[in-house]
Amino acid sequence: MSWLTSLNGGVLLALCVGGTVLFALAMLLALILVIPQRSREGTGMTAAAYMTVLGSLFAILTGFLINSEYSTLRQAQNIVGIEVAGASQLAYASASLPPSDTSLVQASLVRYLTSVSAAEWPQLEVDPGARSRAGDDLSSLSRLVFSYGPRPYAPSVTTDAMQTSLATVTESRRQRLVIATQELPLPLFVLSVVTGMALISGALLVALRTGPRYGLVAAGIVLIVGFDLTAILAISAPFAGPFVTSTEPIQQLAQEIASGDYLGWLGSR
Amino acid sequence: MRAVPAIFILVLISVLLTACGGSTPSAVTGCAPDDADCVEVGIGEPIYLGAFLALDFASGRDTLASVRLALDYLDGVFDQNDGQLLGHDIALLVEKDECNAVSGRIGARAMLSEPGLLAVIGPTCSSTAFGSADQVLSERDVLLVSPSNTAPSLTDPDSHQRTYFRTAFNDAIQGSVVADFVFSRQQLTSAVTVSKADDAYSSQLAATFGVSFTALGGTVVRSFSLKPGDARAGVAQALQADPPAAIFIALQTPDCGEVAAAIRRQPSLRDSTIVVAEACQTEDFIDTLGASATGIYASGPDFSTVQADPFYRDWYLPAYRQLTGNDPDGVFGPSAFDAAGLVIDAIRRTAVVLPGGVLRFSRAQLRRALLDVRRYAGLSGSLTCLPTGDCSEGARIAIYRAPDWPIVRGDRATPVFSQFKTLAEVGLTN
Repeated sequence: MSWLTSLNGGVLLALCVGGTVLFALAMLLALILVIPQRSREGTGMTAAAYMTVLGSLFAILTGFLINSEYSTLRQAQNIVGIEVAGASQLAYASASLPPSDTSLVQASLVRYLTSVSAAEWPQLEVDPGARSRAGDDLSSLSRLVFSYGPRPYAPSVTTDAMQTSLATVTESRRQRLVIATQELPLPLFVLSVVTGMALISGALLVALRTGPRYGLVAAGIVLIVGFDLTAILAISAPFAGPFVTSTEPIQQLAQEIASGDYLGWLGSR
Repeated sequence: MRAVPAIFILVLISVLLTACGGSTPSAVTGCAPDDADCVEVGIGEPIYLGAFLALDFASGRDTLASVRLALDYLDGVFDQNDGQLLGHDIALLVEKDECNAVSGRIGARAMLSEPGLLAVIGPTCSSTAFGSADQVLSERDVLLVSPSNTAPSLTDPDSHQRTYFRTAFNDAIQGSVVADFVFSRQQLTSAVTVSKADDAYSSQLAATFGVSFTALGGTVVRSFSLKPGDARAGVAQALQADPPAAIFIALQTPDCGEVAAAIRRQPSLRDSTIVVAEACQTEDFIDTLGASATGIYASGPDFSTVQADPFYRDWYLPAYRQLTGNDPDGVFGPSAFDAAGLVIDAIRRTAVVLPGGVLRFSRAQLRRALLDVRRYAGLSGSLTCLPTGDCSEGARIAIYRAPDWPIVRGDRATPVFSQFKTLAEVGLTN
């Protein structure tokens, strides 16, 4: 399923809308061949009676999926925000250490943040479970931060703050990785597709009964089903596909720290 | 049903926009590699730094040990193994400073044979820097950060070289504090100065003392300017007939020890107060004078401030002892650690890291990075780098009375006089 959700927007759109249109054309042909002219009035009326139910079911299913997947995307963005905030707090806290230590901690933090955006993000798209360079850099950063705990010259307020903010970074990263491994619930998606196909079939039966003037309504339904399915697939993977969680906050923070914005001795620039 | 086309359009637009989006910010590549200002450090290549220090003197060895400690601490631990900077080793090119202008030029040119050289820590002596190493290195935009040059002319706007900086205090401050001590504390109104001719450090320190002493109301009754062939005992002989109240010896070892010993041997000069400067605060001086060193005053950085710093006391000092096997043998070790720290910080802030770990530096940006430094809480005190090259905006200068000198008593040395002055207070900045 992940290969599908990682396709880019144009391909997804072509696949879903094209798929539904092809299905509709095939179904229309089959209905014209299978259902004789004299029976179309009856089948059309029966199909019309079920259209409301099918439409509602399709709307509920796709609405649920879109809402659920969009929530996941927002959650991923929030987690990135929390991770960046933790990293920012760590940079601030380190400014209370002697300058050589401040510089060291912030350099290690920049290395981690750069690895996250440059190496870990692309990997989350391809293989979220694989070990990344960012993990090693976070280990180095953790070792460094915790090494200040027992040092007599490092104020305990500073080391506590550094450890707390590092815990935030570590926890957020882990949550981010967990989200990256989550996939679109396949049964629900399949059910949506099946409902969509039923809805299209029903719309075609109604159109056959009422004539070509109502074909536009059926075409609209075909497109809506295609767009809905595209939307579900597009937002379903927060680190792949057309709607991905942005690395911009991470890159921006790394840039700020690297250029010295969090160093106490450049504060008055 | 009218809403249906609108929904189509919205979904279509958003999906197409995202499909077309996803652009990444363009890579920052920094300076052009063929630019003379640009230094590129390839994969596996070291970052070149220089140490231009007077290794024949205790202060030179002391500052070199501190620079080595700064490099050792690049990985956050003092383990006698140099850490890496931005994933690259540091290659430290060490040149010997022989405390004269000729060695300044020769040493600077020798280090420039490495085109990747980014910065030099040193030199030890002001005379090596002034109009010599500072000029040669400035012509090539290589940073020169001295931990122990104190001559005022090095940071005088008229003679300052643009890539020259120092973490050591300016002797305008030391001369002023010594004058305050002699005139206000000791209440002595006449003094003699002894300096070395053609030595930027010595002659300028004696001169700044003279200016401050005179401004307070005192009189410099005589100024000796020793030339290389002059007998060091000549000062004592010249003064025995008319002993001054105070003698300020602005010389370096071993000259100051020899002059002070000769003065001490003259019975008529027994009551004269002798003050020597920080360049004489060495074990050599104490060894040369033995018991007769007792009572001689020495000016220099106030170590009580440095020793109160827990990083210095609990972390740096044990590492120093482990590296050298003894206590610091000079007063500029903390300044050297800070000089290296400032250079490392500037390198970290200005490096452009290219894919694979290649580093690119602009020499102009490195210099600007030093000029951005404000209130850097260094081991030697708060550092703010001014366009004139002074990074120590103020200094607490202490007067110690032998044998209670930091070099002898270490942590237990207590100054008899201590004063903090800023460059502004001695009229060097606004």
